[in-house]
Amino acid sequence: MSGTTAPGARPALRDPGPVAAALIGFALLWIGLFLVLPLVVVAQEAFARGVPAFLAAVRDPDALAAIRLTLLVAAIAVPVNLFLGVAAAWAVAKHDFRGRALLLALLDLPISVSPVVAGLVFVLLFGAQGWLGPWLAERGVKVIFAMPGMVLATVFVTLPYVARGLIPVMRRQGVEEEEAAVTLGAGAWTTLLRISLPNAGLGLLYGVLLTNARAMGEFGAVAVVSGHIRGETNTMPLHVEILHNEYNEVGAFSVAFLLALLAVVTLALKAWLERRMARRAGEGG
Amino acid sequence: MALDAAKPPAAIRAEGVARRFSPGHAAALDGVSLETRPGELMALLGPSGSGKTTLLRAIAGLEAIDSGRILLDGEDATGLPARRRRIGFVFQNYALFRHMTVFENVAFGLRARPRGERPPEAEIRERALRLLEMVQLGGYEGRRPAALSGGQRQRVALARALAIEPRLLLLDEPFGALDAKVRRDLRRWLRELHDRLGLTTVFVTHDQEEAMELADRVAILNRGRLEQVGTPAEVYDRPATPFVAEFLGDAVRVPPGSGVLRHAARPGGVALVRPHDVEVGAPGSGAGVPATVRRSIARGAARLLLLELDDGTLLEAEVARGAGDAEGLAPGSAVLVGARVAHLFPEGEGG
Repeated sequence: MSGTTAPGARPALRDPGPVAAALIGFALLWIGLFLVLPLVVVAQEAFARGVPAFLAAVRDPDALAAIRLTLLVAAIAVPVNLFLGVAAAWAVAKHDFRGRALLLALLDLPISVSPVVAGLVFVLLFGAQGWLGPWLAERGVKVIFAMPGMVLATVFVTLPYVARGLIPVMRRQGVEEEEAAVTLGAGAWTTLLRISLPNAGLGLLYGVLLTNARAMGEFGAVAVVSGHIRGETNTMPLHVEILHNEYNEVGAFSVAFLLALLAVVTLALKAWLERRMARRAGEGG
Repeated sequence: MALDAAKPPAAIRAEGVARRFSPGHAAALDGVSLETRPGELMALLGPSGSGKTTLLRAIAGLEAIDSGRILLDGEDATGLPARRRRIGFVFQNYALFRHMTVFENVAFGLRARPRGERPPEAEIRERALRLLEMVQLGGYEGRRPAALSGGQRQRVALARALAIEPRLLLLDEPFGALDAKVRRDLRRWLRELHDRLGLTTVFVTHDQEEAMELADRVAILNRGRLEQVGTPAEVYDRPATPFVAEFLGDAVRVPPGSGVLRHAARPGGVALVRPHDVEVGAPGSGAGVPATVRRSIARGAARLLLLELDDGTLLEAEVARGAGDAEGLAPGSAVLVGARVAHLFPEGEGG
């Protein structure tokens, strides 16, 4: 056989040379076209008029406000969903109770329902003509077309990710270690914090990063409740759309580039943490 | 045993404990009553699905029971949560905390105590290290469970369970996951450790040899019911039910009227004979019924004979091998056989 396959590869699983080459080539082409090329184009467009133009676009007060708001919304939504997701995952994965299947199904609702519908539901609930809107308005609380609504919409849309990251890991590990902790006198809180969560480490990390990525990138649900008030209720994705509609390509792509950069940083962080945890787990081995 | 006011209450007393996992299915525990003696090492023995692990978990509070009571040191603990029972539990697969070091595993129970009862960190450290020394794992405190062998993990699990100063120790299939050699060594070691600590200990096993070798008393379970409790010699020599007779070592069913038996059993009853209780003699040597050797197998120190009586009944006999072994025992030879001991049971008992 030719030297195209790695030494030690299982002979039975070795594809004939041309087939392997075709498969790998196709996969690379696909990834290049649909993943790498868009990133390159975004970067290229952002810097099409040079670095000063890019910096100017990013330093625009409206752009800065959008960045601040995006980070703020994510900073609230991620911890809230971390708490809710851990609670839901622990309940579903480590306990047996009536309505468990229902809870599991409901957890998927935010993923299966269109974000626009989610946004509209919040408008219906908290809007000026909504069920709770007038009552809240009397007390000076503005939810729709304001920050609280955007946080609510983001929390709703990103609800499943932490739980979905944790549940398979927690299930796979079973409940023996938790039972051992209980026989040793540990309460539920100690068991969760010192046994279940540390064991689910990577699942938790994965969930948090996905939540964060989705929270910063969410468009549909936030668009409905935001009202698009420049400098006030525009997050980065909304701001990109506005600039794009105004044919401000450099501005749109500059902010888009920042968004893409956030995603890349998130992924790099995940890879780094995974490596670190793998190393730590291997210690003493 | 005479009632004595000064006698300490039993560490464990189960009264009619029943548990059914799902309606319509057979009960996992069907009214089991059992009492330990202070400081004894008891085996819960039974085939898989007999309810032995369920009973052990119920005692530890890891399994709810539908009816009955569980008393610990004479106090009703039926509703007591597992974490308040102060029972050391060693799980079948050890359930060591994989992200913690050996030391952190052993110290866990002490560190998890509420602030008022928690010993100072220096004392926790000293106690954990002493326990690791006792289970012959001194120097291993910084390792993680993944870096230990099966026997070492099992000893860490034991040290961790002992760290909380439990009132009794429960072990679920303690040697199930180990290979034969380690299992044998660990068995002896555990027996010695038990004698040194004097802690009432109950372990679950499906291996009758393990139960007989290790335990002071053996409780035999079958289909959620307790068949018999007694010392290894008692349950082997005087099985209370056909199930016990057949589960503890080999036993062959013989028709109640067969001439092999010295005392005929009641018609309709069951007679069980262990192969080593069958006497085999040359024709004309004395009492017995004629039989023909069908197969003859040399098995270590013993020879196993498959015999066929004249009425077609098949019987196994185990005879010592020595000088002149196999003389007149070749297949086809005619012999006389009789049962030295037979276990007779009236009709209607399950088996």
